[in-house]
Amino acid sequence: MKSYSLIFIFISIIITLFGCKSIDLPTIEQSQKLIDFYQPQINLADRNIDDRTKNLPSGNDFILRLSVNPLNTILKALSNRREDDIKIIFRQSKNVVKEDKSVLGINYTNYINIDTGSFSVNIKAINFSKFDKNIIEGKIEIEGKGAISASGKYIGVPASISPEVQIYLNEPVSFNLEGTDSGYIVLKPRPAKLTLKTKFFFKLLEWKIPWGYDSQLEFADIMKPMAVPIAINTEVQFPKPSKKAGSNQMEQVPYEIQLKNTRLTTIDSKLEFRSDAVFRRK
Amino acid sequence: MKFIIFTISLAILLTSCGIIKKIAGADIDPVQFDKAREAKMMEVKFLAATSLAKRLNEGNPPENADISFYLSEAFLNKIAMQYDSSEGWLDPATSYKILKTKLTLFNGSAIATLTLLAHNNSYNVDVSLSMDCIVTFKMLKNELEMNLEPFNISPIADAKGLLGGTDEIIENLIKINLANLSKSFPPLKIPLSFTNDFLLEKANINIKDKVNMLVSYNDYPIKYSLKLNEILIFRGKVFVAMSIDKVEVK
Repeated sequence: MKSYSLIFIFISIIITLFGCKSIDLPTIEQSQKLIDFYQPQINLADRNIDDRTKNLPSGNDFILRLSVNPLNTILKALSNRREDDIKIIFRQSKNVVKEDKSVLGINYTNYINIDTGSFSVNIKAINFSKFDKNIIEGKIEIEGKGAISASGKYIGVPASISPEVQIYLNEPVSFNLEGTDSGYIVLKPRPAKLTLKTKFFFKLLEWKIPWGYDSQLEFADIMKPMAVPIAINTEVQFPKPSKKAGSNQMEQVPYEIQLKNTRLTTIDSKLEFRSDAVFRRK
Repeated sequence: MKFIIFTISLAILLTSCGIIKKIAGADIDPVQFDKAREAKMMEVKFLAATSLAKRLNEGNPPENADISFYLSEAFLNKIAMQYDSSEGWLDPATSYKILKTKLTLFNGSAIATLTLLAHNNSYNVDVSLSMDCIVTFKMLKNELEMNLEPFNISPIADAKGLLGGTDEIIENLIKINLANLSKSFPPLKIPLSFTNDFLLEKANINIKDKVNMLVSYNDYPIKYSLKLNEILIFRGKVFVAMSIDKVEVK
């Protein structure tokens, strides 16, 4: 019995000793030498970096800084698109040109009515120049020409014509900017009167008359607010390991990201959108 | 007989304690281990900080980027927190549970410390792992991800059952973790969207004046994609520079 006990004790000691393998590690002195070598150099690099980055923004979960250039790149694609961006439909307009005449005591009226007609015009350019206190300023240029139907009387003789019409608009425009907790910058057109210049080249019989007319358009009517995403996903699928026994597959778990404390400001000629995030599992 | 049972029990108990002590560092020396860990961290931080300082001295200032995101350390930790309590498998017999992830941003480098609990079913052994990982950022399938590459692992074993294979299991766990954890462990997805769209909504304006006109245009769906230009890690924040890649107007 005693010999069995000794055998068991011996085996136990063997098992205990068997567990005593070690992991190769540098000595404390070797590690300390490395630390002493790296620390001052890290401090030096940190001072250099901190000095160069002291003006970078901080204080929120994420901050977007945006110059006008990317917005102009997007708008350029819109203006380069094709030549039928905006459709102009002319509706009946009486006596757009009218002149009362009297020859040998006979009174008559020369006049031209616009009957109908439509053509498309091109957004020649639309771009932004700068951000200023949550306002973005820029300009829009529209140009196009086409033919419409018109009719009238010249010296009492009726006639129908197809005059050429030119349309032109080149005006400054601006938008108010608002940041939303849903992750968008909303561009709201600021009220402004834009002048749409229209030039008609009427030739009714022997009556040749170039005629121009300026129509006033309200910019806020022409363009509706645009919500431009700030490139943060408010819904995301996080890949998570599968609990399924032995599996090394990932499962996609949907999350909703709620933004809060959203603020929009203009700093150093850039727009700054800052917000905090709350993650919620769906 | 009682003595035999007592002896066996004591042996098992001692063996168990021995493993805990050994792996915890009794024969490694916890001070030695901590120093080695600190030195390794220093090396990582040194290489990254000097590389970042060089970039800042020679390249464009980050503030000049047309589209720049600044993601705070708190934000990245909020993402990492979503993985706390996640459970997965290192191999068919070894499960793990993420207890806690803490991510710290230094100038030039990001280091995540993960506390994992691994359990081997075959031998009924629990291993607590504290791991230091270098966080790398990379684009994959139009998404920005943080990947964790372990460089320091500190395991603490707690054997509950058979002890014969414990050492081997722990060694295997360490090997698996060092070699394959980045494959087994899920990437931390940063919710930046590289493909975006918005609508320029249609409008109709009726002009009733001397010349009556209707000015109108249709909806213009505008789609744009962003490309990643650069990621820089600063103390407390990650800087992500992007630019417009493609724009499509329908």
